[in-house]
Amino acid sequence: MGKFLVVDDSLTMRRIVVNALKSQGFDEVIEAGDGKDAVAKILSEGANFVITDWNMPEMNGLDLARWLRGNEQFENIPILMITTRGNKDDVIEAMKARVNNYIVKPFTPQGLKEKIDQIMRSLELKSA
Amino acid sequence: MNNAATHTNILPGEPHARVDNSGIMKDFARLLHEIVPLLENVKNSIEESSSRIPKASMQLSKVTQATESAAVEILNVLESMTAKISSVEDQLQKLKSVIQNSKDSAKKISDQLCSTSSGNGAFAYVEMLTLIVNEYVAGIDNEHAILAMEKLLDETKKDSMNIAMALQVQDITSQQIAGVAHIIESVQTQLANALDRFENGEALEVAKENVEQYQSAAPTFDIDAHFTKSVERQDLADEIVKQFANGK
Repeated sequence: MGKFLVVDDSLTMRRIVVNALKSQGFDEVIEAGDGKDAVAKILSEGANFVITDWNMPEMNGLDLARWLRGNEQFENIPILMITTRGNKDDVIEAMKARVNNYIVKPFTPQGLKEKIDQIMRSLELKSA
Repeated sequence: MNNAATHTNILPGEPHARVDNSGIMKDFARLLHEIVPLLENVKNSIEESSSRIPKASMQLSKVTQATESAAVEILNVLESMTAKISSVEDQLQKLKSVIQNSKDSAKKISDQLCSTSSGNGAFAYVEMLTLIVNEYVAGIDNEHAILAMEKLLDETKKDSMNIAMALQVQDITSQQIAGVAHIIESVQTQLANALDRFENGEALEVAKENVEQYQSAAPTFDIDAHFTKSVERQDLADEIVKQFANGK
């Protein structure tokens, strides 16, 4: 699967997501505290899969998604958004920013795995 | 006081008529005399309430910090527990491997004894040795106990993961608290606006500074965030994601 980048301003949430990933065998995980930090990490360390929160200071998850999609080098990195925002308009806005999938907090490890698998399957179908 | 007489002098067409306002002025002065202490009280109340708001916001911020510290501590313990469980699982695997090797060796011994004994009249002796080997194998074969331990460890791991997942409540409630703090800060600005009507604008500046300071330090938040196990909102999100995937 490669390297996961977990972006959330809450240290608690980052730890929870990282633990959930590791419990499912995804061992290579790096973290960022907001979108701006994530951009710096992507540029310096690279990432194969981004899991991001929406509400963050400096640069939010939506702007991070837009930045990735607007950047030729990173436009195909899968993005999974995990957020408290669960209104219809929020989900539509995120999908318009071309995130690949969307989880409303609180999530479960099974739910996380399911969404990662869905994203990977759809990307495999596209590339086939 | 003769208000009626006074008012008769204020008539159109009599611009130079002398207006006797002394009665009104006296009433007004009395009214002011009564209102000023009242306004003073209102002002003091607003000042007092306004001065408490930064403290309230600070307290809320401390609540968020405290819950985050507690959540991190719990996560530390859970991670340590998970590491220990994994270590026990590794030891069990090693034990299983040792048992399997012993069983294999015992079988080899047993087979060897059988082949050696054929035709040499030492059948009873071999039979006894085989029995001993089988008893040894039965003694070390704790497959059921090991399976039960593995199951327990697996359940404990799941429990610890469930505790970790429940800690998402900390992030969700901290967003709610941040939302409430934001509302309180807005109220302070409103109170400061009211106070400014009494004073020279200092209060408003202080309130603005507090709000700016708070906003620059605080994370963005979702005041509608809530901790629920209901899948309704996730189902809605899934439906929208599906529609986008299908190009609708």
